[in-house]
Amino acid sequence: MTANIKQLGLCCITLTVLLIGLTLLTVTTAQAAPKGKAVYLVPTSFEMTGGDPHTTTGASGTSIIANIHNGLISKYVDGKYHPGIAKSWKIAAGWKYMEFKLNLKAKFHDGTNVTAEDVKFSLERPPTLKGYFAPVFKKYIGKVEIVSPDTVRMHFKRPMVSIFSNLARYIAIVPKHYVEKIGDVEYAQKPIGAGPYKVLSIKQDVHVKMEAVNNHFRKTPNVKYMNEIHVSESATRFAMLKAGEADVSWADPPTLMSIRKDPTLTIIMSKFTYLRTLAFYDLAHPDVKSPFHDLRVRQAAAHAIDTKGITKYVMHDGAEPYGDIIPPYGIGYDPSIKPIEFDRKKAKQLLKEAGYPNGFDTVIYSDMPMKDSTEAIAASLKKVGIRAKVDIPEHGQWARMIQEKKMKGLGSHPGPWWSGYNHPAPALAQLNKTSSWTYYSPPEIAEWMETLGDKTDETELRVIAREISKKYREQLIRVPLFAIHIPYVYGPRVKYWQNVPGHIFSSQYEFLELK
Amino acid sequence: MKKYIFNRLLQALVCLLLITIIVFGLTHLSGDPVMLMVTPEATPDEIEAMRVSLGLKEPLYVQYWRFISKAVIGDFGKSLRWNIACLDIFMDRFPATILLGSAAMFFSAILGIPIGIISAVKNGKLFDSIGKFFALLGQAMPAFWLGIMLMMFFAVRLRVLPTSGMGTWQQLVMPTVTLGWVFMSSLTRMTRSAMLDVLDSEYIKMARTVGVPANMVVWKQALKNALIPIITIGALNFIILLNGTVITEMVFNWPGVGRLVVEAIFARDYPVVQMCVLIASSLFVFTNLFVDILYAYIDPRIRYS
Repeated sequence: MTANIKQLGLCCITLTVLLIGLTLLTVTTAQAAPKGKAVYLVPTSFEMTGGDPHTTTGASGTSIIANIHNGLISKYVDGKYHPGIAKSWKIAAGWKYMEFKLNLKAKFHDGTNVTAEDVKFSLERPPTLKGYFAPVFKKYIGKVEIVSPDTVRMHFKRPMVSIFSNLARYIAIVPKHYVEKIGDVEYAQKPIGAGPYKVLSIKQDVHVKMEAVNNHFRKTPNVKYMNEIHVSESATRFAMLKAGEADVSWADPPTLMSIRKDPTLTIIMSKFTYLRTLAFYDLAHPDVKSPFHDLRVRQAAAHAIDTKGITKYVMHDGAEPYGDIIPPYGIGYDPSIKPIEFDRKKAKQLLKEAGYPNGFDTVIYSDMPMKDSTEAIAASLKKVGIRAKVDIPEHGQWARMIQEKKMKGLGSHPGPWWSGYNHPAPALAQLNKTSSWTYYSPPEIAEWMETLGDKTDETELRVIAREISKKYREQLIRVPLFAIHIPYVYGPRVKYWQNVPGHIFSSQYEFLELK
Repeated sequence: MKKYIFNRLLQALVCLLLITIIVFGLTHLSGDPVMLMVTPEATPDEIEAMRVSLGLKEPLYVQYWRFISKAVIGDFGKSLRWNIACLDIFMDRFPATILLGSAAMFFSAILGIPIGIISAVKNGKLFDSIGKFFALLGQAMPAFWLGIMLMMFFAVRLRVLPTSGMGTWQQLVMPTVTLGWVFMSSLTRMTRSAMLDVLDSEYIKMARTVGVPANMVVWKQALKNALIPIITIGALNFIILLNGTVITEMVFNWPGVGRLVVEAIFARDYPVVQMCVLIASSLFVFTNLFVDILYAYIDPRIRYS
């Protein structure tokens, strides 16, 4: 009898423990499950070429690649690369190939497993399409082979140090069976990926509605439903935030003043997205007589610009004065390098020494988004005697003029570093002779850049990057002016939001948290 | 009459041809889409390769001939950005513009015509002054300003209407008012002026003299005769509305043709811009042609001259 009672008691205790355990498990699972809805506003439109990660571009394209799809590698808000569909990876000596060990738990949204076949298909697919990155892929990536069901090897035609960034941002893995069944055009309209969000509906240029994937192999999102709306008017985006219709939005610097007045809205900067420099286009035309061939004139221009005032009052803190050509997250960054000192007296003195006591007339080019800051730069230059007429061609025209080296005088020029690259070779790609955006790169710097491409040793890279930076700044090939920050705003319902460092467009919605 | 129609049709076709040449020339002069489509790492060779693949390296007259010869059979080519047929993109957006244009037209008619009539009847009195003031206000207020003000007041402050988008009737209210306001003003002025002319005519005076009730005179006899110019203006206004929704669609994020054109221009998507402008101008040219023929039919003096 006593034994029975003991047994019964033991049973009761076991049952109770089991029940408590189950309850705890349920509670824990329930907490981890995504919940709520969020509305995210993207500023540009007419860029999203559907949901195909290998052809889509722009702001919405970035979020489609990062949220609907998953790459072999993922870049998180901590700025580091994390395993994606690949659990691990290694690069063979001499950049012969890169080998990936796949995470066999990864699944597409239709429930099928991501296989080595899908990975091979996805790595070989971009060059066959009329996509943004097709030319880059053709140049660098060779054959792709399946070594075993969980191992894929991608051969390089030449070292590709930007591969990590490209794997995280542009080479998402797509389901081979599905793409082949419905075709490329249809796939762009009805995409299936392996990302933390699946598509509910896509209306080109209007919205992308997404639902979180439960128990995602990489990171289950916090928010259940995401509605990404394309709103190109900044005043409308601001009104949507104020009216509580949207939770997160890209903000244009001119609206920041109004946003700061609203205590319910929080501004968060995606910092150091790219550098803006003052370019001396005449350096590319040594046979043309120009004051800018004289280093003292270039130094005078550098000292004449009030970068602090411009970033504060013209760019509304959407940028900060910056002195180096290496970003803070880049290999070789030196925090001791400060922005060039604003000193009008020194600028005038240098001009006088160079033989231009009364200054001279020139032109300064820029693209439309930087019109205001370029006018402010021209005003600064005028005060020391460099009378630069502002010329703002239409964007495509401006880009073509750079490519064809049709500009003279000065320019407010983007780069050389941009968009989150930490390896100096892709980060400073504009210093290569072959880049369309280079305009001018001295032969010795261009040679250094060629040696950078196949280097992975950080110590060695740091030394070369610092040498390049030093040479660049000593010769003042361009004047580093401001590091551009991209302002994002979130509303009162948001608990946490952060963009990937250096990225212009937002991604990784799985980290967004609501209160 | 047949000769008249033939001549007018010929003129309309020449006009359209000139429009295509101007639009084609201007869009191709405006910039290079390829530079917006390649990565910063792309080399000049890769950029050239992309230009070749998009057919942009051919001489302009070859590109124009390809465009116009296909356009006449309704093939406007594929969007450079989206790689889908331009006409499909247009047809996807056109219903939204038709809806907004119709709602704005209805709004402007339902308010503009009665205000114009009452202003004419109460000529020189307080209501007339208020009516004229509103008409002036409507024509003087820019749509982007009015749109943003409405949005800030009704959506942000009062929170009674959604700021933007399309899908519910509430989302239609502010774009309709913004777009319809200016046309309401022109309709008010046109109605007032047409009614004043008619009210001053002999047969209206006669009707009043013989004791026809005032309301009957105004709303039945005078309005009937004043409606001809109002309808003409209204029809042309509707086409202008369909073509002129750009600002309203941008402000209210309305996914119509106006927004499509702006975005295609920014993206230098030549085929889409060309198609939209060609369709818009065709609508305008053919509506004018129709009105001209209708006039000639009503008034034989027009075709003889």
